[in-house]
Amino acid sequence: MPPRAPLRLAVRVVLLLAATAALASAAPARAQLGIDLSAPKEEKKPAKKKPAAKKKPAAKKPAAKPAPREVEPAPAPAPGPAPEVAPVAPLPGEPAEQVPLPPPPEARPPQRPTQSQGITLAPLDPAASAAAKERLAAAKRLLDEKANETAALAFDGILREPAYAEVHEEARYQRGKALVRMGLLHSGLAAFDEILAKGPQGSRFYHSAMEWLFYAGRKLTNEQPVLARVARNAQGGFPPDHEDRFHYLLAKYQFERGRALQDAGRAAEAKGAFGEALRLTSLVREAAGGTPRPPLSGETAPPPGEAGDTFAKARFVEALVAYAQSDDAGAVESFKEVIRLTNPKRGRRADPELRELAFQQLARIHYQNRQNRYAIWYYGRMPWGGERWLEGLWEASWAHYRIGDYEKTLGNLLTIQSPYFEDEYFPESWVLEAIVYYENCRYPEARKVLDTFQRKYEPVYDELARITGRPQPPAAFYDLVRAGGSGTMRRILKLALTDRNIRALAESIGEIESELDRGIGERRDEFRNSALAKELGEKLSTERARLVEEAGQRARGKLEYERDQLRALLAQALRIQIEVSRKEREALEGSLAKGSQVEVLKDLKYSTAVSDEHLYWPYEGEFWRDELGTYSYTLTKGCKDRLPRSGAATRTP
Amino acid sequence: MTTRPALLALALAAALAVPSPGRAQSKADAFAGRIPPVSGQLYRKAGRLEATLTGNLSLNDPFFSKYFGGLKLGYHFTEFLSVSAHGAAGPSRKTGSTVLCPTNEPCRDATDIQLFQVPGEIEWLAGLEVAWSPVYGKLNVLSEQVAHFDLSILAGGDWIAHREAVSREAALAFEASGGSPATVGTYGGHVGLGARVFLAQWIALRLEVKDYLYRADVPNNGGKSLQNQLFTELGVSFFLPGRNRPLR
Repeated sequence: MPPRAPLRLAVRVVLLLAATAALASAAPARAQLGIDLSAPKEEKKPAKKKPAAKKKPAAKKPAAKPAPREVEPAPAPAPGPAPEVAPVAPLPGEPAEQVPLPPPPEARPPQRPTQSQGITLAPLDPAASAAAKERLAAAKRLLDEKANETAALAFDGILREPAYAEVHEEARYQRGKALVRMGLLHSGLAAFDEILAKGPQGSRFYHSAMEWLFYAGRKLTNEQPVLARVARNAQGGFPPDHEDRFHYLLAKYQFERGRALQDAGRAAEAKGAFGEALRLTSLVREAAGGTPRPPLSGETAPPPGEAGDTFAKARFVEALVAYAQSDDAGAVESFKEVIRLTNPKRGRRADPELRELAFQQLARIHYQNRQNRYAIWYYGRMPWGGERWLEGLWEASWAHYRIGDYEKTLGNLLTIQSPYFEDEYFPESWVLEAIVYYENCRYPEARKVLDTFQRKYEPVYDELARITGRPQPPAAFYDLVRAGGSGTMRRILKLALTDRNIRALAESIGEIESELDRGIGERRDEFRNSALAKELGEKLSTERARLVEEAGQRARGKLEYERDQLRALLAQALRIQIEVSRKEREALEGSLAKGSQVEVLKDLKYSTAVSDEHLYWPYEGEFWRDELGTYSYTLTKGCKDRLPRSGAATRTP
Repeated sequence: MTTRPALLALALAAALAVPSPGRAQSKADAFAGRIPPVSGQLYRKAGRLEATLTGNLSLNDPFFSKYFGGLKLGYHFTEFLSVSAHGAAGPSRKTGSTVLCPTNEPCRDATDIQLFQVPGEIEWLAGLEVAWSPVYGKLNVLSEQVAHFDLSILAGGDWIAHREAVSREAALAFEASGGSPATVGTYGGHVGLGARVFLAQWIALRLEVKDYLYRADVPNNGGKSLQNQLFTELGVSFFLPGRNRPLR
């Protein structure tokens, strides 16, 4: 193997890492988002309309009802008669009910006589109208009394009665609320979808439903379901309370769309999407995430979706866009801004995960630009034990290798290969270890490491090739990943689940399954056997099947990618092995020519002295949790004549 | 020298282990609950027999110093839990404090008659013991050597054979006849703390401090009274098999 080979490997790793970096935070799930690459013009519309949409709430502010609310009212289309049915009192944390006003006649959408919506062209019957309002009021009382299950059935009963078409719109909205209150979040979101699909002009409850979308979304484990809906309804405006989050989510969507276009080779359109993403991030106000929201009564902590600093997240998207457009300097500045914003001393809403991610991206950019010491510094700032800490440690090993700090490289690899992380998948760590030993003329060690690597990973490659080679439906891949395996295969399948998109999909699938099995399946018979439960079951099953299909496709892609990577690594290992053999043969030939043994190693000077802040603990084969990441291998012997390294691996200032 | 405990024990262990709080708080906590404190533990006891040769010395008896030799055989069910049987016997000597200084008379050693009347002359003891070892740690010795240790809490029941304490009249009679009070046995128990310092996988040094409790008849003190004998025990342990059992 030529000495350059490992360095080329390093370069490839950088590119790979950089690509991962760009995807790291903005979990895309394009198919889930329904990114439409064929309709760029459609995407430009909201950009033009946004300012108008933004002004609307301000213009209508005086018209807002003075009811006690945490939130600014949604833009009311026009003043109208007071509602006849009292609104449902919000529970702590819930969006206050916006008493919907009937739209003015000119704004009323054309009535479509679809049976499914129970709308008929028949003139309204005053008796039926009164009965409908009475039924609605009774159902709302149930909701007020927190009899959510009964209320949901009552609203559903109204919806199934064509004669009550007059109140169907509100019943649909209230049914969604009841479902969310029951903890059936995906069912609730599906119910609100029916309202959102009509747009702000088509439904009086559009904005309220949008608020509930954000409210329910906060309780989900990931924001993909909300992101998908926000993207779908981007042109319909946003609830004023969620303006910043709305812009952030849309910016994220546009960034993902830009990346997809870029991958498809449509640079001009990608640039437009990136530009839109930047415009949207600029609309996120600094106050968003500025101060932590105190937990409401009944909450021990703000819900997950409420956590985090939206402004900092928007800056993060900005950095990703800059990076995607090859503006590394701009990306660095934005990432630094994220770090400044997420500094716990700033008193803003804590977002340690975003901070960790920003440090990692900064490190990756510096590594990519061969500023290895800066990269090491940033990797070192990633919090010990954080979610991406091990990944950072692994990447830092390459940076240490590049500056010739073999001790730290091997030390990091010791952590990565420790029993603690035997479920993690870092096959390349063995190759890097072999390279380091090879470069230090420690040929027996290099050979041993390579043997171990091949023994461990050749069967894995065979298995991966077998799995990805046989024709199977995508769902089978998802099932495979979720079922896990044993030994090293388990690591790979786990790795597939660490893909943020797949993980998000798996989380959503899990939530839906839980909702089907427990949320609906364990309710009392009246609910479980109702038409509503049946309808929800069908919707959720369809949604689950769609997500499983997408997750399966992504899992397949991930496994194929890992298969190809592993094949390349095995080839790399083979080249190193040949090179090791060549060096050993040269030494042997030298010995024969000289008539005595040729020594390729010499004793190196080393010290176990550490700074006053540290304590030296010799490694004896035992791993202590609090020592992870601090190991440094003591190289007591190295090359008598240092092997030449390519320029790529020499120290950088 | 610093210590780093692997697991938190009760207050007792915490006091003995002297953890370095800075690291424990800021670093170990990040992985706490996610991964165990130690992996690839060098010295494991689970599934192994432990034979210990012991030397025991009493600490707090004002009348008799006991110098026992003993044997302890134990089995470790897990890293944390073990049972053992032990026995120890040996001579007792008068302590230096058994000196009487009557008024207007020079001080003199207590006589046999007087010593026959006091309790505490244990001749041998044997018992069963349960040990809970929640702490495994390592010591950095002068930044050069590493010593692994564990800490245990001990409790057990014992049969304690001791010389009977008799009344003054009986003591005089024994003196006159040249005899001595009989040996009597009684049930008792003990609690204590133990520590092992591992020298290799097959050998360890042990240090234990135990408080033996038993009831003895002391006629000059109104009858039965609770006796409390504090022993320190030094030992050398040999583990069988000589190497750690493989992890399952």
